[in-house]
Amino acid sequence: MTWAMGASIVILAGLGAPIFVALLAGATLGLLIYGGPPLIALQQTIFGGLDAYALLAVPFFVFAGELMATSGIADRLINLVRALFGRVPGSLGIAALGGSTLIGTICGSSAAAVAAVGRNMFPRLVEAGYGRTRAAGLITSAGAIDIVIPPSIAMILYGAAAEQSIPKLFIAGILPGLTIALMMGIYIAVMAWRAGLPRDRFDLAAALAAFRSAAAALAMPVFVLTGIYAGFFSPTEAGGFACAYAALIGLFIYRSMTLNDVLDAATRAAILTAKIMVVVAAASVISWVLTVEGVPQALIAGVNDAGLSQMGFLLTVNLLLLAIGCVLDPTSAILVLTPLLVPMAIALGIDPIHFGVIMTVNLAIGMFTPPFGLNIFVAQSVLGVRAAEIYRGVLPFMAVQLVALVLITAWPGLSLGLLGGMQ
Amino acid sequence: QSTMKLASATINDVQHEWQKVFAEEMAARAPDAVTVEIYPASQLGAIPRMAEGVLLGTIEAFTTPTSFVTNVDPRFQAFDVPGLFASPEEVASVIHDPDYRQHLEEMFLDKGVRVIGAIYNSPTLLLATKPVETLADMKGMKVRTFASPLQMEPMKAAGAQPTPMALSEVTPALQSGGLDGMLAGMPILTAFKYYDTAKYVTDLNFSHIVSVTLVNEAWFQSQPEEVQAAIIASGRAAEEAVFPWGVANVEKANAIWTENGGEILSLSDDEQAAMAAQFLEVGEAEIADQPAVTAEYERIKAILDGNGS
Amino acid sequence: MTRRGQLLGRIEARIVALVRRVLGLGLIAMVLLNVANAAGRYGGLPTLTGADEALVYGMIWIVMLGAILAARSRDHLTIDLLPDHLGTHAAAFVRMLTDAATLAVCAFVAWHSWSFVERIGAIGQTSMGLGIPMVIPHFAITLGFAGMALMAAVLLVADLAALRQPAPRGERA
Ligand code: NA
Ligand code: NA
Repeated sequence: MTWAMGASIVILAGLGAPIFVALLAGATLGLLIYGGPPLIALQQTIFGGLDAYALLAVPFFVFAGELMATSGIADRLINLVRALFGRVPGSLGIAALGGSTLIGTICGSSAAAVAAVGRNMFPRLVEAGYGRTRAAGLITSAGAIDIVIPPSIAMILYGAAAEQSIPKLFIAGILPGLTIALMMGIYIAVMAWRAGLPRDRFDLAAALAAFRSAAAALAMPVFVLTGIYAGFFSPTEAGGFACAYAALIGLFIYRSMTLNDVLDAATRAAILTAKIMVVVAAASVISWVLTVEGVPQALIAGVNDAGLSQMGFLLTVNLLLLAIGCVLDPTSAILVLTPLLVPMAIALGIDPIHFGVIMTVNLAIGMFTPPFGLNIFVAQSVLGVRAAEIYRGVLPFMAVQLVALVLITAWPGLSLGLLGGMQ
Repeated sequence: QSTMKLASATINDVQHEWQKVFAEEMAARAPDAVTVEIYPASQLGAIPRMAEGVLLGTIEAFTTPTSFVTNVDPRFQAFDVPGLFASPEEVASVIHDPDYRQHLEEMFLDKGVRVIGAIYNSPTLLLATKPVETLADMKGMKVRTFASPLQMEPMKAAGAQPTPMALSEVTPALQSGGLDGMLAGMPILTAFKYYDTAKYVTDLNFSHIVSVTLVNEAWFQSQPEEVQAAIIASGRAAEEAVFPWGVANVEKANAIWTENGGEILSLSDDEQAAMAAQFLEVGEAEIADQPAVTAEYERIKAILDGNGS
Repeated sequence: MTRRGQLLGRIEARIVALVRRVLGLGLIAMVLLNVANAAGRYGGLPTLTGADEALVYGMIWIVMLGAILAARSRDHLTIDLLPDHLGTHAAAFVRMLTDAATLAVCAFVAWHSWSFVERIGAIGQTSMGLGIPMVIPHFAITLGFAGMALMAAVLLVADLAALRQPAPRGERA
């Protein structure tokens, strides 16, 4: 039954049907064969997949990304990073990575980060000689850092399902998130050096000019972060403020936009949001069907019966989550799997906060692991590149992040170190 | 053989415990007739989706505090009027009173749901980032409440600013000062380890949370008579069995709170009495224009008065 | 193309332009509501009860209307590995296949969504915060999937018509 569901999804998606159609066809087939709950449950789970306050981060940050691109804020920020890091090989790639990490400190949605960074950086990376494949791979995979660095929707849901402290999870995510960013940065520098990509010169006067030109733009992340940590607005609401800020700068400071440009950006953002969110909704139907059919529960029982050691368990969980990350979005996967996995982890002596970080990193990687993954679909749509190019492009970054995952899994101190004072 | 999916938003609390005991009772009373499956922790969707699910029969049963189903039937509000119950024993004397329990079981049949479990949950507390020991301390506090007048109006009366907000936003808001407090039961506060975010809890002793398990009536009627009888008997046996568990669980949660550096405070007797009188007035005024709710409230009060409390 | 066809085309273009404007204005309105809500809360003003709900339901409506537009231009997220490697005829065939699947799935969902909306309407369920009938947010799903089914049907008919013409090349955008 599960097999028939999986097959129909892969075949339809492989033929080029919309992803949400493939997922819904699989789910419907599952419901029909299983003959369990009434089919009006389809409506409930589709609606339920969208009816979550935290998901507002998606339209808001997609819109903010559009406005940053249209208003020239993004250009000025990128010019500054280029001016400062010009002599480092791969400086532009590192700027894209840094931009993604910075956006990660503002928002907790990976797809929104891919859209915002991709819109601004992809043409520049291609222009600088990175090639479409590598540039797409970089942007698609860098989005994963976003849900490891706090704030993170995935960690909030894990904390709720596993009864773990959300502030602790947030702090535990900082070093692993930065580790992934650092390892990717090193890889990009080495790759750019070996590929002989052109590097810029460093010129103090030019750097200062770039700094002045970017001042109002630089204030944007500062404004957003201050707003969150001063309690002026919540991490989700921050997306709305980022939009308002970018629009005001573009309209009145840079005078680079008209009201009509704002409306056009909003329209583009709304349609991209729609394309992302119907996939999220369809994935939540799959997750619901699997849950009521007891598939995750059966998988866990299998893991349980195997009588694994701590490391064996973590390795198995990593493989399981990477596979599941192919079909489910992290939101659904965490809600379904956490209550089943955490008691086993605790029984094996694994710290549940550390385990939360491992789950989050896994699902983050799953979002850009071929063939399925929300980041991939978003990148395809926003960057206008082919799936095959993204598949090839993400592979080296996937390898880098898998090494980071092994490190994060094997070294609990990386996650728990900053918590020393709290425990 | 049919399947009975039991859903709830929480895990390892008295609602989950009721579901586990119910499953055992069913296995004993009607072996092999019904497969009981338990889905805690919102595995089958958020609270409004579970409520719709049990109304339309996509899930068979849903266990929830009454305050989350007041849009299914306003009479659920009767349990949430501040000052109605003063202790767990008072709650038990009403919901386990044989006549009232029968009335409760059948009072929502016109909405297509039957109550098969009436469960004492916990007292509603005020969590705060600073100590609240006097009514004056509450002035101007931004307190997260449900979007329910029976929580919002008393907070307004106390001079606080009621702030309905999605639960996922609460922790960051408490950390940053966007919120100064929230209303919740202690088992929820310890389950989500809120002591890491805000250390002070004040027991305002103004409301006790009652949970109910609703079953889809059409599904219930589709079962053979002996299975129906087993479901009713199992539900009642489970709620009696978990009452002491629930009371002990609140005490256990209180202990966990203080062990983790949290503090439990209360108002002085005078202030407590003044606040209770004010809350009662606000609460009764709030339901005054809803005759069905008022009638239900009066019915509960009559039982409490009959018990001499 | 017949005159009636041209008129229909113009009406359709008008509707699409209108929906696009509504989507953009809707998203801007959401941003403003979000900012007003947070600013009001911070400033100690009475909180807008139900602002959360209004934002989420607004998002759901935007998603479903936007999904119809994306379906109209075959712009939904897909995996385009196979179609890239096919010849013109095979690609056209596969496209009709996926249009048919889209039509079937969306019509199926719309149908069951409608029966849900009917029943939730009969029960009279209202939302917790705004107290509005739950039919209003739920109907977005019905309309969205019905609209996508309609778009798939139109594309499928156009493809079939093109197949019967001897010279299909470059006829449609
Ligand atoms: Na983040
Ligand atoms: Na994947």
